[in-house]
Amino acid sequence: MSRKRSIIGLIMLMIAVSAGAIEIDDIVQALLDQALTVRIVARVTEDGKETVQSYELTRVTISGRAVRLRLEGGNLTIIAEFTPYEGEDNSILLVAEGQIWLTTPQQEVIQYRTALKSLPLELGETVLFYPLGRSPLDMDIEGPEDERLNIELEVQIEPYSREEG
Amino acid sequence: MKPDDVLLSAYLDGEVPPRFQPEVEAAIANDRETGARYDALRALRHRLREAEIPELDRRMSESWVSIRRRLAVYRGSSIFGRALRQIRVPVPVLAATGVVLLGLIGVLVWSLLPARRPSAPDYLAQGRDVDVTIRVDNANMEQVLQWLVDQNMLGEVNIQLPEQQFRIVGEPVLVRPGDFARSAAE
Repeated sequence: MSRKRSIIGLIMLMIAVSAGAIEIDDIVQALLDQALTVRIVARVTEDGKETVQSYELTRVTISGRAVRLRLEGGNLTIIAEFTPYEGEDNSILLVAEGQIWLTTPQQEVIQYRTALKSLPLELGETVLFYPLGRSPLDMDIEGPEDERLNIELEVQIEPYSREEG
Repeated sequence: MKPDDVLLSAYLDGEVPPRFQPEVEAAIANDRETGARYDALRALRHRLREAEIPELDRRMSESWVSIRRRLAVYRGSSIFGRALRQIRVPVPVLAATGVVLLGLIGVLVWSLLPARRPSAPDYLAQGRDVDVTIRVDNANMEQVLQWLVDQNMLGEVNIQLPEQQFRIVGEPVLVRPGDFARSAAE
């Protein structure tokens, strides 16, 4: 009886091993093969021209997986998500989602805005995202200096290369 | 001596030992009643011979030949062969056993074949339009998570803005630098 059980166990083990899932190295390799590098430069600009502050960051992601940023300070909170979707011809559809919470100077009203934008790109191409909006006119707007600040997010997507990792 | 019917029948068959035959023969010859019974028995035997099945002798002879032939084969075969010949297995059981054995052999051969693994692009291509769930055990999960952390793939990026006042100046915009410059010029 014990011999029968041993044989059955061996057969079951062989079936389990042969039907096993993809190994971890294959998973990592698959991720690396499909990985994308997302470079983001977040700028705080004044009058749409001068850069007051600048932040550079690089994230690695895969098609369909968002890179999420949270910008917070003053009367503003922005949550921005950039999701690249890779096409078959090395093109990218970039989907940018922005959620903006902004309070008035007197803290009387909280403004909330959400936006979803998309743009087809070539790999390596640069795009700009202005969650607070941007108009050529705002460069000449008269007002307090600290109310002329804007946010500019520069996004560039490239194929991931091992040298970066 | 007055032989009974059994002794008379044995005499008729030639089975009475020679030492007793003279006495039987004397009784048949000298005793009327014994002679009558002997005659009756002989007549009965004659009738039985006439009523025998036609070709019985030939068929019996063939049967004996067949039996002798089988006996000859049986005597000439090995003990193992005789043992095998004595095993009686019902056909359905034999067929079921064969199917099970074939199945087990198939499973063994299949399990010994090298597993086909999809290439990385094929693997992701299969899940292009669906969420891909990667199942790994706890030990491997640590490795995956470590890799993701190393590649800065996890977590939210927090940026501290200056403590100043911002304002909404228009609709959110996602543009190429060149497109924005052209639209501004227009």
